[in-house]
Amino acid sequence: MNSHLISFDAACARMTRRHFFNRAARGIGVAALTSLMRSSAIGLTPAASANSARALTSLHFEPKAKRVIYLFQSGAPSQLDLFDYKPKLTEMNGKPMPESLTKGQRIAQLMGQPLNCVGSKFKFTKHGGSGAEISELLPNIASISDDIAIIKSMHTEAINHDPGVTLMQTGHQQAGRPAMGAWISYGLGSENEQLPAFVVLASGFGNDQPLLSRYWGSGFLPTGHQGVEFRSGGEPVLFVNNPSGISSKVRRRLLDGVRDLNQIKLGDVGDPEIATRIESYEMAYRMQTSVPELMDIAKEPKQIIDAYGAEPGKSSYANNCLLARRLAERGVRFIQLYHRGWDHHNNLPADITNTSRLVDRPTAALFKDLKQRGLLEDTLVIWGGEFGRTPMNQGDSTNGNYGRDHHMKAFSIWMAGAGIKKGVSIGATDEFGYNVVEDPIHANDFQATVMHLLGIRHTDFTYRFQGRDYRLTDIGGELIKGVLA
Amino acid sequence: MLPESENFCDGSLGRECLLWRRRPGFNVAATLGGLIPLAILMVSASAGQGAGSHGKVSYNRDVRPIFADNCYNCHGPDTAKRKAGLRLDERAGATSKLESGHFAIVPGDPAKSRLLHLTATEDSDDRMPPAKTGRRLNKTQIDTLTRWIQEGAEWEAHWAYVPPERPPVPAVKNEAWPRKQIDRFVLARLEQEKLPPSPEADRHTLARRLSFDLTGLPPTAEEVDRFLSDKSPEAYEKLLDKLLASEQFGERMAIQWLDLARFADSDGYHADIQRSMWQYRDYVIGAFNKNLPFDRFVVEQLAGDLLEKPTLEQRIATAFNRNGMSSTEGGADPDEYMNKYVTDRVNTFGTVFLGSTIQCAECHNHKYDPFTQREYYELYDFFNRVPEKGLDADPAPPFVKVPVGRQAAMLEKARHEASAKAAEHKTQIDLARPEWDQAQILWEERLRNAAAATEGFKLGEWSSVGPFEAGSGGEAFKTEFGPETDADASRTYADGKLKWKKQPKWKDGKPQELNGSNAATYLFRTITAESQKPLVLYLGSDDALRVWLNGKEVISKDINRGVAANQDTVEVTLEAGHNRLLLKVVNYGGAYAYYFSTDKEAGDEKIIKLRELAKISQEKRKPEQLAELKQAYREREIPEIKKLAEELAALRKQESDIDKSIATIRVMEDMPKPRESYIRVRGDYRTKGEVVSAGVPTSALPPMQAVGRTNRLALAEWLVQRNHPLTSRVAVNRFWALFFQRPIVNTANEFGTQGEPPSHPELLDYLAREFVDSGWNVKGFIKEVLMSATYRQSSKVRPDHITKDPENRLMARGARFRLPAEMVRDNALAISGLLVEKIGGPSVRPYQPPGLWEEKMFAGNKYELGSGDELYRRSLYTLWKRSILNPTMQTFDAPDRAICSVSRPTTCTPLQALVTMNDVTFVEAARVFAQRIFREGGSDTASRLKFALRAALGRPPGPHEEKILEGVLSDVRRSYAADETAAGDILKLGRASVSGQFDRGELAAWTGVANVILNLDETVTRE
Repeated sequence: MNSHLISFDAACARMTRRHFFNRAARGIGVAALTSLMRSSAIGLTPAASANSARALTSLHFEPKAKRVIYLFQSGAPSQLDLFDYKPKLTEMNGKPMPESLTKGQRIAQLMGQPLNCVGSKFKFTKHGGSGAEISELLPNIASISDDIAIIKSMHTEAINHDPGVTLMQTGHQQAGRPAMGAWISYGLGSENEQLPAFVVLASGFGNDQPLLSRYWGSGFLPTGHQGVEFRSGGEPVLFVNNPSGISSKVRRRLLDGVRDLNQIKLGDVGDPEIATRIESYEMAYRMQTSVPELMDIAKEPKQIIDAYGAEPGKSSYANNCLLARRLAERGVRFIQLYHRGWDHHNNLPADITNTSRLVDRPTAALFKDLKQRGLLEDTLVIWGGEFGRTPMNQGDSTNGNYGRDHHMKAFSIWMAGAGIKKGVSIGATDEFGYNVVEDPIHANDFQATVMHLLGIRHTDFTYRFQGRDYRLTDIGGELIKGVLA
Repeated sequence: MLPESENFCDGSLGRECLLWRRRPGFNVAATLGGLIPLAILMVSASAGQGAGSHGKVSYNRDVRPIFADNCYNCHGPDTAKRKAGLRLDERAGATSKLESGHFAIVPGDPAKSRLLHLTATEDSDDRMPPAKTGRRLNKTQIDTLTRWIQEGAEWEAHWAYVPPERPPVPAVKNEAWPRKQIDRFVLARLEQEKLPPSPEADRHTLARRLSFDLTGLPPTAEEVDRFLSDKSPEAYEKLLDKLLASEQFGERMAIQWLDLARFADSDGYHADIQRSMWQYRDYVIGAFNKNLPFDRFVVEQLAGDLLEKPTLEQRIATAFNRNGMSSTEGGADPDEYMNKYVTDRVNTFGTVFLGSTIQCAECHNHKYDPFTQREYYELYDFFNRVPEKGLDADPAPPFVKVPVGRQAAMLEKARHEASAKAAEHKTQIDLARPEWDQAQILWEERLRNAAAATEGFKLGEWSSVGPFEAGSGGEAFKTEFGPETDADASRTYADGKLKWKKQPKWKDGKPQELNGSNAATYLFRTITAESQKPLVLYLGSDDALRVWLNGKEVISKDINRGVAANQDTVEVTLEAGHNRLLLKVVNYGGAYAYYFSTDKEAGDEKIIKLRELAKISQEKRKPEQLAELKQAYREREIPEIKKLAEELAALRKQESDIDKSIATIRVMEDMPKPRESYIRVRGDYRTKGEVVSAGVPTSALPPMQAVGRTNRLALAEWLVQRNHPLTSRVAVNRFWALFFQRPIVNTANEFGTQGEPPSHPELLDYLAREFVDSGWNVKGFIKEVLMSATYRQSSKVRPDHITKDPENRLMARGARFRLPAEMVRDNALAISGLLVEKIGGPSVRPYQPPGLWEEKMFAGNKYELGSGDELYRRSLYTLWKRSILNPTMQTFDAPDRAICSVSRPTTCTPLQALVTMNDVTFVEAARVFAQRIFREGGSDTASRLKFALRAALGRPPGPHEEKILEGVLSDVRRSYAADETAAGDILKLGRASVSGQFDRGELAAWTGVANVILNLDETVTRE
């Protein structure tokens, strides 16, 4: 079968052309338009030859990043035990938090309970030339601290998980907006002819905070831009495998029949939609081989598998990190990982140790792997959750045990790779880690910065829905200048 | 910048509401000029109504868009943001003297109109809009404004806020074409654009089109035959009437309404707990089926509970306003969520009934449409009277119970039996029996003695240390880890890793869980006695147990068991003063717990209470205390009354079991004393502004005609007032989209000034007026539309369609579109013969790949596959879990219904191809379809193929098609002949039975052919 240049979203593109005609006159972002005309991100690859002049003007800036790997730490990791060292809390351990900080402030599960300081029981050490203070929980991430930019002054206005994740991922607390990855897919399309632009990988089980599929939904954007979940356990993409009893050879023969009959129909009624459907079937057929091949990490060299701590055949964060690199290599635009397991209201010392062990090594391994392959130069890596945790104790506090509630006033994330300054730390919190006192960064600021690195001015990349021009950054968004290289 | 408050959409925070501006810099036509013929842009933008250089300038068509895009942000309806005292959306404001002394607009006098000067000036300091906004009017726009002022600057109300009037029917040249008035509106426009309409579609296409449009299902081959052979002029109408009268009509119509009503089977937020709302779905189906007038449909859903003597069905209808998402997330602020629920109701109301973006006024006055923030909260007040909690799961009050089948009768019967037994029981309790009363005195004495046995000593707080891990439970039991000899609280064990820990929360009298596996845990407490006294310990353990009192072992039991109360009883003697009690509880793997009490009846709260009552002296007892003791005595000690009491308890349990089994549904109710509603400043739920009371937005919309009431019923009645400009237009526009794919107002969710104007304004008004005048007759309206020549056109695409009107906004051809998600699956089930046509009932769980819920949700969230008919019900009955939609549905663009959704996109993706290729739903359908072909399609290949295509597409195959399918068949047949295992495998897919009467290789080969047919573009397309 002739299969040249039929891309994953060529199909979407054709069908979206209607939307496009419809919207063209009403002014949608040019980046989005160009992605509809051609699947490859224009101006990003040297190969984007003929139309690249026009395409370059379509991106607002020279992009630093071609793609994003967002390692989302769901449940909200405790910044106070990982990145934001507060000796004052240790000093004040068990004593009441100053009322001047807590009075009248929103509180989640600690509502009506005593608000006492709790210091981290983990040791913080300065690392590398940058002297980043990182706790003993993350030795591997600490080892790359000279390459990353830590932001200690994130803040949000969501105090519960669902709205919190929704805000970080879609720019707004309320359900219904497109996820960051969906915006990028819509704006830039895929670099790979055979894979979707926005891929989701999830790990973590049991009573960790649930993952709702709207976190990677397309909101009001065309549904083709919602994240496609690749699963490291079970079928790698839903329905990609032929059912037992249909061999690849039989499948091909059946699809030839479908194609030939659809061709007759196309000739008969002339609807271009039929051509789109024919393309979509050919793409689906190719995915049947390319996706399992992509997902088969057992073929990686042993030292790579070991470096990540991956276990082929299982579902884990380590496996997903390795898959993220494979997806990045293949040009997937937005690779969204979720790891559940950071919601440590109580028994924090034991539980955070456990989650850190699952996350620390693969994260650093991914970083080093990207770097070693030269992929880091045009890949933006993000690590962080939906909010922070309180300087106040929650739950059992005997025998060195403690817990921390949700905290929206301050939390830490880090960014690294394409266009990001190396070995810097941005922002600061007060001595209790309660409020941001320097360089406050809102979720929308963070999102504006991601867009910027991809060559997009966030204020100019809008989508009209219900008579209103929406954008990822809602009504906010200031660039985080300090992290830009 | 660190905002003091939330990051709300409001300029007053210093963050300008940039969303409200169209950004400059994307002159799309210029950028892509070479790619898209400009003509297309013209047609698709406003369907050819652009301002010409001749003819009068229209405010609505030509001027308002310029003002809206460039000026309203500072010179619009929002008083808070208004600059220079200038308001351009109204004549009075725009023509009055400005603060500067100038006049922005002097009608008829462009030279004196300051607006023209300031928009045209080259001086960027003076120019409007200000340079910092990055926008500037072009010459054409300034010319338009100049001409408009020259012509007298006439303002017009926004079209959508003017009540629709029956327009004159336009004249057409081709008198032969129109069948209905609708056609004249469409044809007049086509003639203007020189685009001839298409001929009528083939009869088999019409049959299939009508069937999909009116029932959501394909026609049967027999239905098509009947229609093809009926040569009477009424054949089409007869078919239409039959389909309109079918029960499947309601199911088809419900799909669109359920998206609007954001109907779902789960809470949506956070844990996304399941809820019972399906009765609402059935109400919607029923309403369409019985052709409930649309105005009644609106009133019942908004205010069914407030109608006089509401029926259960009318109360169920109000679930419309309880379908919104709800949360149970720990630590969430109930007030915040309550506010979310109410705003969701207001926003849904605005979108569904008004086609308006009223939600913009949640935080500030609307920038473009005449809705103030105050008006938003006045609407809010209608919906803020529900006696609901902020955080709640099913059954979340207010709710009603909805018995089905025999449930109501069974409940009635159980109630009756219980109350008869209760009467009998009461007689016995009240009976005068002095001998019983005598015996009661002794019984009370026993109660007091038992109470005394639990007194005279004080139990200290538990401490524990452990778990001490060992290779096995047996080893842990034997090993002395330390505390055996010395339970000193200051000691540590296992190199300091294990310490004694106080356990103030551990309660006696109920099993307490412990942590660890194959381990020992030590428990210690003091018992302080006033004097030496005997004591009985009641113990239980999972698994083994050893106990020491004052260092002396009193029991040792190496056993593997589950915990229960009073498994072991140990009599000990307490010394005066402090006694030291040590327990060692050992686990043999699995559950780990202990039980401790000094009272045998510790778990029986009733006994404890009776003991307290018995301690009160006779004369001090209150009448109810006397009665309680008497009843308790007789029920416990007199055998015949004991039996009676047990029988009564069983009957009460039966009654409550039946009651609990009756499904509930959340509904609306108004509190007797409603909460106060406030303006939430900047939309922040915590910042309460002025108190407001219920009212409708009247700046552009008519006031309520109803007098004396301001509740939801009045609000609903306001919507269906004859002079309401929006309700009817918004409704007919959406119905239209069901049959033409595109609505007349393309922005079906935005009829305000930022929406697109209607492609056929007169047609829209005509339809709206017809609809209302017909008594809001939904079936009548649909019949009128479907009888038209416009609807009956062929959907074949001509070259001039693509060049002149690719989107088919002018309707020079019939609509051709992929079926909605539900219908894609239902179609395959129907073709195969698997479809189970049962209307209504609780939602069902058809096939879904395993593990999807388990991977993402809290533990315990398991998708349990349905059985039997549940696998083959129509897709609108599929359980709608908001956080993880059934993937087949989601892949075909079904929304998650987190919020109200007005229209679905229609995409075409490889993932969809994978679903129809490989999803067990579709492969099983292919396999069962193959059996059907064998049974009903004759025995030779040609007749079988003919049967198959007629079943799937309503038409026989063409000669080429037949050849292609024959080719597939013979190749695949060869493959399966060579691989019998594969043939066996494919026939095993799904739960439907495999017929033994057919050759397996043949059946497998035809399953392949059926899979091809189910994957055809034509199969999943409504033509």
